[in-house]
Amino acid sequence: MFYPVGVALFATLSQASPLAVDGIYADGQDRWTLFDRKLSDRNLFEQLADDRQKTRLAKDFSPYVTGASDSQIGAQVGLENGQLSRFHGYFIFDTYMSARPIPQLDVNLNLLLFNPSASDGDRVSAQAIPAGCVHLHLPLFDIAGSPLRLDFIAPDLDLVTIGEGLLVEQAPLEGYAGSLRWQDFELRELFSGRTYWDDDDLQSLTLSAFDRRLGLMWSSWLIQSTGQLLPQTDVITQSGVGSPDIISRIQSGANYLGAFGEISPIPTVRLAGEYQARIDRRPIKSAAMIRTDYLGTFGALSVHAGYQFRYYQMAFGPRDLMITPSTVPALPFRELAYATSSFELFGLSRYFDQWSHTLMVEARYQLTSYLFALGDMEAWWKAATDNGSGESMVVYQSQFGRAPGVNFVFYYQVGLEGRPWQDLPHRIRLIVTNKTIASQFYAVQEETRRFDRFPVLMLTGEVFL
Amino acid sequence: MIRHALWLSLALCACSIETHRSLQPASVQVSLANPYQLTKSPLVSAVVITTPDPHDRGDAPLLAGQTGATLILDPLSSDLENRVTPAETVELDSNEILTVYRPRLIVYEDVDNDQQFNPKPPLGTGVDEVWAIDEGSAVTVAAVLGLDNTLSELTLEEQEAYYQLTGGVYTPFIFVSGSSGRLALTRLDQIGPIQLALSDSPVPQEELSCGRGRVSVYGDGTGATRNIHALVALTLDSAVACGVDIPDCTSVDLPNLPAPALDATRTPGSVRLTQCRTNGVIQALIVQEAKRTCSNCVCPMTPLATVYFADGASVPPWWPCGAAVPFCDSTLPLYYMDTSCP
Repeated sequence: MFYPVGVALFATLSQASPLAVDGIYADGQDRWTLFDRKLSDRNLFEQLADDRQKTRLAKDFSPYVTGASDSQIGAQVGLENGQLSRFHGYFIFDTYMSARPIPQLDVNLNLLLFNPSASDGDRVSAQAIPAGCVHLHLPLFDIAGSPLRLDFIAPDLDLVTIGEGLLVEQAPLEGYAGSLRWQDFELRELFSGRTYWDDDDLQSLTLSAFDRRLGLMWSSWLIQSTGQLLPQTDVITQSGVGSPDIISRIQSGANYLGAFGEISPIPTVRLAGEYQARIDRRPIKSAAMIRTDYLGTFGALSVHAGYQFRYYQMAFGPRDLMITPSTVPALPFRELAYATSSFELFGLSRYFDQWSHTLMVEARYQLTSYLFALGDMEAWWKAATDNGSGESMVVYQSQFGRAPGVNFVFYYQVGLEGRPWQDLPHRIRLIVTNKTIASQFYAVQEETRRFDRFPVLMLTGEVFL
Repeated sequence: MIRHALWLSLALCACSIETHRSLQPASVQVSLANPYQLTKSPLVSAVVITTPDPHDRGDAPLLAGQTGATLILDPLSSDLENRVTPAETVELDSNEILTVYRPRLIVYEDVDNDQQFNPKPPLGTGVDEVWAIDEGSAVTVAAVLGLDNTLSELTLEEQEAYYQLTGGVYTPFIFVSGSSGRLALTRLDQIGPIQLALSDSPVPQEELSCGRGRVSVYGDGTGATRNIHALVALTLDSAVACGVDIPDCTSVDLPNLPAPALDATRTPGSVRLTQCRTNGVIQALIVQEAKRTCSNCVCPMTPLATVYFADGASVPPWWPCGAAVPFCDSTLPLYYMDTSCP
């Protein structure tokens, strides 16, 4: 009786996602969305071999060297008191180059050249952010007729998702990742040098099967900090608050043990879940996520509809104090991730149970050969409570309101996309959105908010070389 | 495990979420010091909220009044928050400033025993007298005005710091010290009972009336004074004392005068000092007394010396010089108290 069930389960686990891009090692981008995918800073040869990249000019430049560049310019009109986000009159040249001197070794360079605002003055805020990645990939030896493969990348990890994203999802990180793969089984170690805070490191060991559709994880969120609350310690010390014995709760980190799984009962549907336990606390603290997605096409209409439930028990987060996570760099490609993220929940985690329900929908409709309509929305209902904990705080979180309480945020994007050259991906977009990347003057300055949430009219032009 | 399951089910059905939480009261421990062994009763400790509105200084300001050592502070209403004075500031960090108000902690004598704080004029219309008040710059409790607006402007780190100041309680009350313009936060673990010192002077009441640190207190009544009232024995020529230096001079029948009070007193509100002097022929008994008075936020202590002059050969029976009051060997005129003598 169990045999057919097992076969069916195996079959669903083995389904490939419709938008999966094969061949990108440790791909951290969401496969179940209609958001655009950016190029990754590794496996560039494999990425450019995909049929959707066939128009890239330099893809066949040499058997040893390849490259691509995504160029974008954009301008904004503020629709609410003229308010503009940081990237409001910008250009971005996102260039990828890869050299493969021997079949087992790639040397990758992602060079981002950009200027977020023409308002700053000619070239005043122009910036360059290079990221390098050396990728070693080679078969070691055969086991039962199948090769055991070794992969190692460092230091640019590009976008990282651990498990199904309960801990970290689509975060740009640096560090290293390495794995041993045999058939559909993999043992992967990942270390990132800065994840959500200045003073943190994240180490994660994952044993997975069925091409990472089922896995067990151990993660250690290392925090080498005195738990300093406020940056101006000297001032606070003078006023009596910040002397080390009150704010220094030296924390070495948090350890997590978890499991994740993903099934696709039919090719257009994905059900996924993840559970993590913070095992260095007694009693242990739990978090769980359930997500389901539908990705389908009806003639000229492509639709993604997704739902996510997340639950983070009080004190599950890695910090023992309320400290807002921050992230770098702040660049528009990060708008290609949902707002729903542990990033927005870990700040309050010390004192509040949190759970959220998110409904996300994206749609693309081809109006003519050259013109597409697009519409995206993400409705995020988030609740926080400290019932039963004995705590009695009221805390305000930027953009998300008051805890304990219920908060609702809604992101949208609607507009038109024109592709003047039917066979080429180059495009112009005119959209109204309330989700734009939040950035300081320089994109590499730490930012505690990922998105600005006010309406703007955006006009962008993109060329994919 | 069952609790986890319950929470998960609650989360899934999205019910039972607390959306309203009230500001919590705070408690303050006060201890009353009575170094001068003053006897006043019944004494009541209280928290007083001061506003420019005279009415608030009557019945309204009393938020709590207990004879015990713990005062309960209820959060101020938004209306009262708008009227308290003075509003002061204290730095939470270099980026954020908290606007605070320090209520006054007092001990008053409930003279009419009506269990209401209704101070005597000009502060109020009653008869109660304030005999102790928190010292102007010492550690005391302060209420953060507009706490919710303030918290909503703070980062999570700053809110964490705030809650470390309150012990994790959603309350506007924190502890500060220092004078206005230079207030500093005080860590919760450094807070002990707030000391109030019982006084017999009108300064606490004047401080409550005028505002924190706005009362000018000077003079301690112990220095030599030219404010002299001389009483000269009939057996002496009055000219030995009376003259330009002592215009207030009277010849009296010393033996038949009641003996003056001689017990030394030195309290915040009154001083009595005695000293005997002699030039070999004439003996002088100096009884210098002072009482602190307050008016228009100024509280001087001006001494008055009553000097009794007696013939050294025939002193009255009650004459204390050389017995209860020792002689002071001094080169100063007989009617000046020499403060160098013990």
